[in-house]
Amino acid sequence: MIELMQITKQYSGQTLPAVDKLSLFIPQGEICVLVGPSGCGKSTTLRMINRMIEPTSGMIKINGENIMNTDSDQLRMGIGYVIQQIGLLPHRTIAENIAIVPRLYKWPKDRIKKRVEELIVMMGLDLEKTWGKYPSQLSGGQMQRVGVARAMAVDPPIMLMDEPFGAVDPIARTHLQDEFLRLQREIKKTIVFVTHDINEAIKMGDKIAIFDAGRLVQFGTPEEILTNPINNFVEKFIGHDRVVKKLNLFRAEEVMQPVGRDMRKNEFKVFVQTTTSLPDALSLLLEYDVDYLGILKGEELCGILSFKDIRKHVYRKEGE
Amino acid sequence: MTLKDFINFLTKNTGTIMEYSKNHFTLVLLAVTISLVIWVPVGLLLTKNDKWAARVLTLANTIFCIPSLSMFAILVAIPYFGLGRKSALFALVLYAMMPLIRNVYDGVKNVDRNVIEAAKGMGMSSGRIMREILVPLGMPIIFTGFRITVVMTTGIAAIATYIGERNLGRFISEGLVRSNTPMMVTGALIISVIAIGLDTILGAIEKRIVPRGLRINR
Repeated sequence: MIELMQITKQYSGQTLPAVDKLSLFIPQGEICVLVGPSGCGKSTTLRMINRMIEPTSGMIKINGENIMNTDSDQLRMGIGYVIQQIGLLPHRTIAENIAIVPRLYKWPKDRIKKRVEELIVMMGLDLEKTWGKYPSQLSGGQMQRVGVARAMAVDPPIMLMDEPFGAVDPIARTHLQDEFLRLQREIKKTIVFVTHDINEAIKMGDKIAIFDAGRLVQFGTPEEILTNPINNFVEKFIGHDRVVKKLNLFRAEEVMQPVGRDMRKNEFKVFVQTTTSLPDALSLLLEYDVDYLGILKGEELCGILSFKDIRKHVYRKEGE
Repeated sequence: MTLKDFINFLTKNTGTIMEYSKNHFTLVLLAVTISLVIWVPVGLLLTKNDKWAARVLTLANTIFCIPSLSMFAILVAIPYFGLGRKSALFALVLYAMMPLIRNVYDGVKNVDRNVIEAAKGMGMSSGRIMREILVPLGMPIIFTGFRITVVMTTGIAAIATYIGERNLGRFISEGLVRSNTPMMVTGALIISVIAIGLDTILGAIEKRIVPRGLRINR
């Protein structure tokens, strides 16, 4: 867990602090997304956690220990760090790049080799084709995977990710996000994730911290923030389609009406799987101009989803 | 001058030619070695401090602008230096300051900031970043500076003949005074061959010294 207590960063020659008396608590095993317009202090905050930037005042604790008590290089070795531009060493192969931190820890060679191979496979890259290549031979999406693999090399409990998927095309980004979320369910890291994209924040975050001008404006789960934006700034930042965005948080099975065995598949025209997100389900309702969808779990019919169900769900969550 | 005159000169003066070439070579070798030992570390240090970098680079530029004949004359006038190798070496090392410091500085400064940021963020110490990242990635530019230094030093060393160096420059200066064309041409030719030869060899080495990952095309 990470605790930020009354953190302020004041750059000399600037009237306003980049980060102003920020307090934040990030529990173990969660993804906390820092989001806000550019220049709001989100990256500065992230970079203070691994002492790439030193705060002017305030204290940061990791697992109860003040980070200023640890040597900065030692501290950084124990925290995964991914940046948007990735920063792979162009003169080192992919395997050598991933092995950087294990080498700093002086792991034996065979242990490093085993771990590197494991990570390349874990990231969904072709082991034989990838390990001996140089960064310039990979696509943007592949490089980003290597960047994430490199940050996870020594299995650090904490990872800091600064717009990690910002530089890849939208399709690759969606893919990387989905895979990373799937991976996170297994590895359960404590992750601080910076983005300027509210949609990415809603998708990735267990908690979202919305920043503006160096201050924390609102902190909460995506659902809380979408349901009760605290002020005009947050409301504008999350967009007027916040109700539709909120649908993203739910899957068909959470909203559907379960059906018994008396209903048959042939009573439906359109089917979706239980894991389908609500916006997709809604889109299909409109596209096929039907009143309800059949919800399938595998091949078996298990529910029915109508426009009314979605509306009821939204209203309930809106608290009206 | 006929080709015969030229060949005659070469065969009759083999001993002197060998001696002058050797002197020329050792002066260049010494000057380049001392320059590397001094200026490469200075260049690396300057990458840590922009204010000092600007000052030192301006100084190096200024020194570089002084014509070599003037520089030798000035040094000879200083009691400790006087005529001879000390002055010659000192002048050559001063001239090497600009190409070496500038290229070491530029080479290191041109390394992608994101690579350094990522390395630092992974907990690499600044010494390790210098050794494993900045120097190898800056090497193409640093090596170019080295190459320029070698060729330039070979040329300027010839002028040191005016302050008592017995090297290939002497053939040219004496040849001019005595209107001895074969002597003049011999000096000019050998110096040129040495300069071009060194540059070619260094060019070949330069290709090998660029890290493999930077040579591979997408």
